[in-house]
Amino acid sequence: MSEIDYEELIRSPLDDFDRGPSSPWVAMLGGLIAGLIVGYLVVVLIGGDEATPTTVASSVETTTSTVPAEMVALDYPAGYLEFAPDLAARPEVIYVEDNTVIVAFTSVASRGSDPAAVSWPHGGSWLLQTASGVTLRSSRVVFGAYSPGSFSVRFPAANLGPAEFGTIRMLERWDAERYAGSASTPFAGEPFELTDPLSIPVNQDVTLLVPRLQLGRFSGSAEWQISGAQMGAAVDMTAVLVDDADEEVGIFAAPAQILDPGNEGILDFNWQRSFPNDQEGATTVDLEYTVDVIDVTATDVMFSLDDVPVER
Amino acid sequence: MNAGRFAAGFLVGVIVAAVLAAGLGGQEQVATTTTQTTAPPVVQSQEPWFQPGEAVIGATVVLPGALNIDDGTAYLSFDLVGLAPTLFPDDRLSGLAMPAGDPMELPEIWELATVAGETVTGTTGPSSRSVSFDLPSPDDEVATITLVGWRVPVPFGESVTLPVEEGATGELRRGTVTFASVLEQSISTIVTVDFDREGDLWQSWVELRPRDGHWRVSGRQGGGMQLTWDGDDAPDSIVIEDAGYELFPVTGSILVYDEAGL
Repeated sequence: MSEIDYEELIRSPLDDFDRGPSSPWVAMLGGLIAGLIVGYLVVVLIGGDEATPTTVASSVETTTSTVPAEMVALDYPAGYLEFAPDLAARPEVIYVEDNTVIVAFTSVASRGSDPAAVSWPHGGSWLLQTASGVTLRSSRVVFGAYSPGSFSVRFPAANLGPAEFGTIRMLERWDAERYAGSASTPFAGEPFELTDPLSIPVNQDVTLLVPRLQLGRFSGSAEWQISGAQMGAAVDMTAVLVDDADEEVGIFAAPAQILDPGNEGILDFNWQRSFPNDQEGATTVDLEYTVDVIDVTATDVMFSLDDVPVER
Repeated sequence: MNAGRFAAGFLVGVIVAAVLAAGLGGQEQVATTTTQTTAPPVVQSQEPWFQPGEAVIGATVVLPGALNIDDGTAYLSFDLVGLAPTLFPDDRLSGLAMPAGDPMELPEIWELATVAGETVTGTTGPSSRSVSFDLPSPDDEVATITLVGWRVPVPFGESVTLPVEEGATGELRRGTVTFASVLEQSISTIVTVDFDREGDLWQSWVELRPRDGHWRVSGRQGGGMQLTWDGDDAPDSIVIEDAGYELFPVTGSILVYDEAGL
């Protein structure tokens, strides 16, 4: 076996090139630089954007985005609280009389609603609390027939003294379910008097009875009774005279009014047609009715009375 | 041997680069930008119902118009619009019931402040649609106009119980109820009710009615009425109720005009 000089075999011609005394460290430095470059490129290419530092910071940087405020238009003027659908109220003044405390409200229809289409409740149950803790329960709610939107809640209160008032709460609202229809009876001219009472089923529980209907030349009246309604009903009627061809001859109607719910009542009619003003040709009375059957809705709407003026 | 040194250097470079990259990556995580996004604040804006500068008194909106100054007098025109609901559709309204949109609250007392700091008062009535102020001097300029008094309708629902006797009398807040005559017949009883009203007419509306619906209002005259009971069983007394209202004075401070344009 000949001994091969491996050192000679791997020897490069450049090995004899004189690089000076530092050439070994230069080779290492070159390798180091190349390694840095390659390492950097590998990290960048493999790591992608996530590895690309864009910000160097020693702590968490927090930015708060500026979100524009959402401006919400109020459904009601300031100070009003909704107490029925599309209807809000505000206490305006308190009257203290000898045996009664009266809290007067104004009310408004909601923004965008039709004030003529908003239904007022027919009443309700209220609690008045004084600053000293005395609680009064309402006896009646009075609606302004001639002052739309205004109503007063009355409280019996004997010997209340110089009380300060804290809050008023609506505990119940008396809503109404409306039923409408008509019933007919023959008409043979005025003066007209109903011969047999009209019994009209309003729904499966409630019956409207008309025991008396009188129609004269220019006026008339109708008595009504309600059965089967737990809290009564508000009843309105008009008497429409029609001929054999079912054409309208004229109408008896009661003046527009706030109808108090109850179990019986009388409506006074006036002839509504100015010309021609007779009832010639009429053969039938169509008694058209609306019956608002009262139903109780539980609520809890509380109004502060802190800034409400008190009249004594 | 240089190749070996180069390789060693290369290896160290790669490791250092990796370490640096890792280090920078760590710094990148530390430097995470956190964006705090919160729900937009909800601000209840007093958005006008009709126009900027309007003033709301009860269920009525006061819409200020033009301000004119003529010969030492300042005039502010305004309009009124109601927001109140009504129970009745328009086709059922009688001449007395107020339709929706009609103002029920009424401006009454106004204060004008001049730029020089002096204050003068103006008053308005139910049908007024402008208010005038006598300025302290013809050259005065208007700084602000403030509504400081207005009227709010209050339905009292008060009542008085009277015996069915001629001459029976009872007091209500706004007048005296008297049974002027009682006519008892075999088939009916007719009671004529007079009402002697007190106070300024524009400050209230009186509408008498019997609480018991069996008493029919068979006629009205002035503030009184005629009641009829059909049958021979009329009760001994009648509860007379006032279904009207009284315009109650309310004081406050609502800026209606500001020379600064607020």
